[in-house]
Amino acid sequence: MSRKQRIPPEVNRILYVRNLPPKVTSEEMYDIFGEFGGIRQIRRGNAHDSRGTAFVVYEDIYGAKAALEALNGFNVAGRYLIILYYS
Amino acid sequence: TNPELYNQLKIEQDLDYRNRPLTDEDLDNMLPSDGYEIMEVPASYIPK
Repeated sequence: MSRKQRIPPEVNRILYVRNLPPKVTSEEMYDIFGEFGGIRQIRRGNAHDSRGTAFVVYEDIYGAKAALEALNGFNVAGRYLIILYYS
Repeated sequence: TNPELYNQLKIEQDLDYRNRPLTDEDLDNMLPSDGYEIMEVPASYIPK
C-alpha cells in the first residue's frame, strides 16, 4: 500500500473558484479541472453576484489538492483564476 | 500494533472519510443552489 501523507484539515474536495471568464463553457471547465482527477460536479454562478465563480467538486481529495496547487493564478482568457478550498 | 502501522491506519481512515461518496442531496446541502447552476457534463468528458 502506498505510504499516504496526512492531509491538512483545510484541504477538501470542493474548490471555490473566482475570476472565471463569464462565458466559460462546461467543456472548458471539465478540460481545465478534469486534468487533475475525476470531477463529481461543477456548479457555476449564474446570477449578478455569483457570475465568474464556480464550485468544482472532485471525486478524490488528491485531485482537488493537485488542481488547487497547479491552477491557482492560472490564466484563462486573460483572467487569473483564484482558487480556494471551500469550507 | 507498531506506531507506524497505527499512524498509517489513522491516515487511511481519515482519507476514507474525506473521500466518501457524495450523493446529489449531499451536494445540495453543502453547496448553494440559488445563484448557481449545475453544469452539464460534456459528452466528451472522460474521467481521469
